Amino acid sequence: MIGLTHYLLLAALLFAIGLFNALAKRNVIAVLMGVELMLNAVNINLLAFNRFVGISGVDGYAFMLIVLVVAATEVAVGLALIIKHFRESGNSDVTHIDWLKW
Amino acid sequence: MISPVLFYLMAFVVIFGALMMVVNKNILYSAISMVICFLGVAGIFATMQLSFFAVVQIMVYVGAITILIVFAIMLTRHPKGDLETTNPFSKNVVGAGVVAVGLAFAMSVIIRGLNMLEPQPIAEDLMQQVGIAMFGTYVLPVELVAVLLLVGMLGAIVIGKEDDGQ
Repeated sequence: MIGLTHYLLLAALLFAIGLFNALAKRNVIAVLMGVELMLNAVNINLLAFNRFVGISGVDGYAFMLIVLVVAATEVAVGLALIIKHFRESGNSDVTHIDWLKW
Repeated sequence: MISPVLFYLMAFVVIFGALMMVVNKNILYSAISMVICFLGVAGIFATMQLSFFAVVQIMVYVGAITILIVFAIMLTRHPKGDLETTNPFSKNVVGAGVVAVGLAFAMSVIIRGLNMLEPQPIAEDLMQQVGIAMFGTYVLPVELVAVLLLVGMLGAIVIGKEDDGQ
């Protein structure tokens, strides 16, 4: 029998993998991809909670769409920043992005 | 009633895609593995009988975000043209692994303490209700996110523009 806990466990695992990818990679784009994975895990949680717990509300569904838009905006701005940085420094390595380091 | 076979198949696709994305040394292959993972998430939505969200997931994530990421990979390729080693691990891989495994363990302990719930019956006019909620109760967050999207797109254009004037 598949219930709420299955979906939550899957989302937790996906979130952990995304977090690992975001923390352990050197390429900026890979870090951004890890963040996308984490947002996907959050979306699974929102839908699963609304599907299994919400009796008549649709709050989780509405907020899933909002998270989707925020994820799209984040990736657009992030990639513009990455391309700008690449044009000026010639690499896409997070360890080289330290202009603001004191 | 959710089919266990479908759920475990889709969960396998999700985790397989995510793990392949992590271990691949070539970032283009990582992006393709991310597509597999996103398609699996759409399948997970479909097992919950939320077909609209599965389609939206495919359109936005697989269609739009992946294309953006592949474009960015192509625009930031290393000058040497070597894609084989474009996605290396950094030196804090051990710390990241400890954090991720610890987080997964803690969350699974919490989740296993929850009650096992059966899915609620799904409404006939679900998307109608979602639309009414988005433009009724949640009209302010929706408008805010619309402004955020507009500002984000403008910001991306301004940031990504070539500096001709200098």
